[in-house]
Amino acid sequence: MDKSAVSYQGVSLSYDEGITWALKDFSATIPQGKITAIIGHTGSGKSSLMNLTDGLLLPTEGELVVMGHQLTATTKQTALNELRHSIGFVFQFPEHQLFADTVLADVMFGPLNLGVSSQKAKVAAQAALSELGISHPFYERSPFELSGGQQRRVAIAGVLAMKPKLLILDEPTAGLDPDGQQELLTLIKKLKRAGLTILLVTHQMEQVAELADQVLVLATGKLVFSGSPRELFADPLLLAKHHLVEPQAVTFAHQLTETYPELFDHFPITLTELADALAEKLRGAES
Amino acid sequence: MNKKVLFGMYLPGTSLMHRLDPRLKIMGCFWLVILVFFANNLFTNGLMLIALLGMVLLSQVALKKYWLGIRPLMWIILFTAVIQAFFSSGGHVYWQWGIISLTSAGLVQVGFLILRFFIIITASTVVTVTTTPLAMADGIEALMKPLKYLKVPVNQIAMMLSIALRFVPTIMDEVSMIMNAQRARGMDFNSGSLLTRAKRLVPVMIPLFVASFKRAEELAVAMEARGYDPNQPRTKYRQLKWQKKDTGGMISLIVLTGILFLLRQL
Amino acid sequence: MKTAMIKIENLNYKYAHQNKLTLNDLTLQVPAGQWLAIVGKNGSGKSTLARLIDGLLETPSKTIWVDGLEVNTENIATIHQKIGFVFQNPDNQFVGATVAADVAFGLENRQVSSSEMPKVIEQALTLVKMQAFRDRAPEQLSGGQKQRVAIAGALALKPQLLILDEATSMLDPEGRKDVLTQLAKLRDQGELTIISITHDPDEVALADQVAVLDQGKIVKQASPAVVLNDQSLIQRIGLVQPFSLMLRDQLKARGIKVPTNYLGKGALYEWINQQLATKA
Repeated sequence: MDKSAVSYQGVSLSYDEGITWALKDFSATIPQGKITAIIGHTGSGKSSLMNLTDGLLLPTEGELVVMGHQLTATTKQTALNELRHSIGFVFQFPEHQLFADTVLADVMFGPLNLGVSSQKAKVAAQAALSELGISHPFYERSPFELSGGQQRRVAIAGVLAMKPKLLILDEPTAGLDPDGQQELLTLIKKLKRAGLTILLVTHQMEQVAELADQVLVLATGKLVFSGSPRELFADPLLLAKHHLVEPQAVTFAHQLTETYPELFDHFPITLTELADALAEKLRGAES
Repeated sequence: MNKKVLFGMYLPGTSLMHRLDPRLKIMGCFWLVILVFFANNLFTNGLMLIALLGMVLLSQVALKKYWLGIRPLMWIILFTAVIQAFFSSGGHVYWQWGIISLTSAGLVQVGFLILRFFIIITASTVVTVTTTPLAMADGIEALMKPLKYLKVPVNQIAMMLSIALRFVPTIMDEVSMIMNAQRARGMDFNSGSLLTRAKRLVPVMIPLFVASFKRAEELAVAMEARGYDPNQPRTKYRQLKWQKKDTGGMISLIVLTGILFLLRQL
Repeated sequence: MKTAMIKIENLNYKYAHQNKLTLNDLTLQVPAGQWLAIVGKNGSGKSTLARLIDGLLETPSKTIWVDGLEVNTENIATIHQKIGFVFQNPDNQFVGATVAADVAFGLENRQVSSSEMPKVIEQALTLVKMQAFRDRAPEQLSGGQKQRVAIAGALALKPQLLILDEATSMLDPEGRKDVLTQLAKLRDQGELTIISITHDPDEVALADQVAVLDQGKIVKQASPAVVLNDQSLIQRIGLVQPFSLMLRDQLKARGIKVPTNYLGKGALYEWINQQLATKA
């Protein structure tokens, strides 16, 4: 049994004292050291869920336990500050939060807020920057002079420098060119190997198939699916109902199974899996 | 996303007050403010109160909501009233200390003062609560039209006004997003001295300015690409339509004015 | 023979604060009724080129002609009328207080009479499937929905040329498919010339021609099949291949003898189907 990094128990959230609910009776667990993908359209409650997880909001009803900290409607502000020491939250378009004079100072901002010495903050910042491929000559530049892709990486470094154990990523690849997207996906895999628990919000199903160990689908404030990506993509009705577009590999595989229902022993959901399965069959075909 | 409703802000509805032409509502409000100063006795003030009550009821917004909105301002009114009460003279003197006195005429004046403030504030609240910001902008633009002859750039002012209104929610969302992002980076907005708290605004204000300048630039280019030229005439999609009920509203105001001047003679 | 909707000759362009030329001796023609995809890394000059075509930057004289008309300050109003431009950031081009009001913005600038507007707005919103949202305020919409409104706003003006500057990047996959299909239809009816700047291989595949921009120069101009099949080029400019070609190459890497020419999804599917059939 996996240990859970976060567990939500009947969490509900309302911004207007119970007239409407942004999140209603949400229960789920986020396993430690795994990547959990969160899928949902605008207004599905996924932003509320992330803000709750980082203690930026408190639940109206129910409770959640995040990295050992229990959060309810009455949790004190000071407890939340402590909670955030172990969580990193990369917002959508995180480059919009850059503010310091230099790249290095911006990345040091988080660690300094946590109360570490400026020497240690600097070390942490440099480590995070090199992790994201931002080299020494950039340290003293203004973040506003950098390209969009570089700004994104500086902003992510600013979160990683806080050495979080749980990382929340909200559409981290939005607006990047394919190279930039690929680099970021590689980084996410690497962070997982380093033991981080990752919550990934995305609308790109290819990323879900490729990266996620677990998927949570939200619609109008409720959890409508929880399970593995394979289970999700095996359910065309659910996908259609929530306007989710399956990965191209899945569509392609589904098409083939229309003619050859027994083609796959293990249904492929990524390009690599599809190629592996097909290559095996086609090799058989040649001989 | 803190969705607290500030009073005075538009509350959606379909009441008669909601459906009246914004031009009538804005001008009518001004007219009432003027009339309030012509109300000189118990009858005229009573008339104004009845008219106001009528407007409030027609807006179909709960009385309690009006009261919640007006209550914070009542302190200012009371303070002004107290000063007024002690420094005015005439009539029977109840109490005196140096130049400070409490007289019967003073108390009557104070009563009227509170009433006037109350009527003015409530009347303007009825207008803002029943009119969308957009309709308000349209109304102001229409009413400013005559200023064109004085070379006032009415169209540009109206465009500025409507763009400003359009981006208020966007910028509010942005502020809360940036604040959340910095809180997530360990910043604590709630403790420390006034100076340290002020310093903490830097990581919020700078990204906000950067985003706003970028937005202004991109928006200007996008508007140009869509053929906007501040010096060219434009047609208008949203037409204000003067309806029978608006004429009715105007007649009611005239009748009210007439009665008021008759009652002044009493 | 169709005339050129866009003609660009020996265009050089440099931003005042930069030393390097952003666009370097660029020559290009786009026939009327064609769809040209422009691909290249961020910073290769794609957006600059698009803006120069619409005269949104100071276009050097005698370098760009749109529908036979030189792009210069004198013609600028007419040029804007011929071109619909959709930008990448959906929030920063949403002028109106509601969806319908935003589509109306361009019409108001053109002095379309207010009685005609509702019909035109309805048509444009139907094209992008946003008619149910006509009275929504922008803050009630997702990025993708705002982007569709922007496209509707451009189409409502019946432009001869539509420029999409990474305009589909914010759309969800479903919405992107819808919008691209609509645009392809307009192109096929011969009503619209399209220039789309994009990183999306499926969008590239819909185009008639692809221009590859690298460091301010067009390094290749060819059909999508040719460009997408050129793996080294694609890698250099940071584009991803369409799914069918990725699968083809993965199969090849696993020792399967697949055809090496450009294969669409359908063609690859047919080929695999055939191979499996011979086995059965």
